[in-house]
Amino acid sequence: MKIENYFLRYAYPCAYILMQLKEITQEELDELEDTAINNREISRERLEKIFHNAFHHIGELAKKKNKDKWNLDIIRYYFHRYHNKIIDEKRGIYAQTPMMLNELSRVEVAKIIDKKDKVLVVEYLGKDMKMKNRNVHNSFVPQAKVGDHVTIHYGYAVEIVGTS
Amino acid sequence: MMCLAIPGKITKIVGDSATVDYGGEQREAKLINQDIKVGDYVVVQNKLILLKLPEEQALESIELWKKALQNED
Repeated sequence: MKIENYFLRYAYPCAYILMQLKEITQEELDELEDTAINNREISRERLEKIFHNAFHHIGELAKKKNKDKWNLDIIRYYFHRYHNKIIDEKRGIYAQTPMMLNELSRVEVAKIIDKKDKVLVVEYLGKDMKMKNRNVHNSFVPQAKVGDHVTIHYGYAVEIVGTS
Repeated sequence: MMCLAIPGKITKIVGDSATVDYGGEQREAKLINQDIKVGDYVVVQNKLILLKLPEEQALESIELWKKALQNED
């Protein structure tokens, strides 16, 4: 998978919020969904424009690590670690967002406990150290099965990080 | 006004399909959990109910968004 598509898989669920804030249209959201799910080509410029908040922080991270922002290790580290830290510290846009949204916005590692058609029921340890359940779309990981571990972002399983 | 960012209230359930109300606007969403019932507040993304929210937390989120959107206008 190309780095642009890897980035978009993690960022796409957040595009729903951008639509709510009128930064993108329904048509643009649909196009992003098609691009994300079918790994279609998309330019770095376009991604940086749409997800300017993410890239503000990715740029900051890349500078710290003395690497390019379009480096796979940087993008991965951002979504696996840095992104949650920003949310927890309530930096940037997260200063004003409801608690419920900040919880959904964290990238968590979750275990699949059930699969119903194209929906995965997952459980994960929340930031408050309580076990939580959530239903997520399997669009990015159609091969994932019960027992596997996946990263989740809002209502999507993004990537398989461990198989049973 | 409906989106992942705003909780909606379930007004009707038929099989695995729920009608979710967003301040007067109705949307259909797929229901997976057996323990979700009419009157519950839920968060939906792309026609799937992700989870149930405690009422107090749901109302607080709705208020915050109303304010945020008003400030924009």
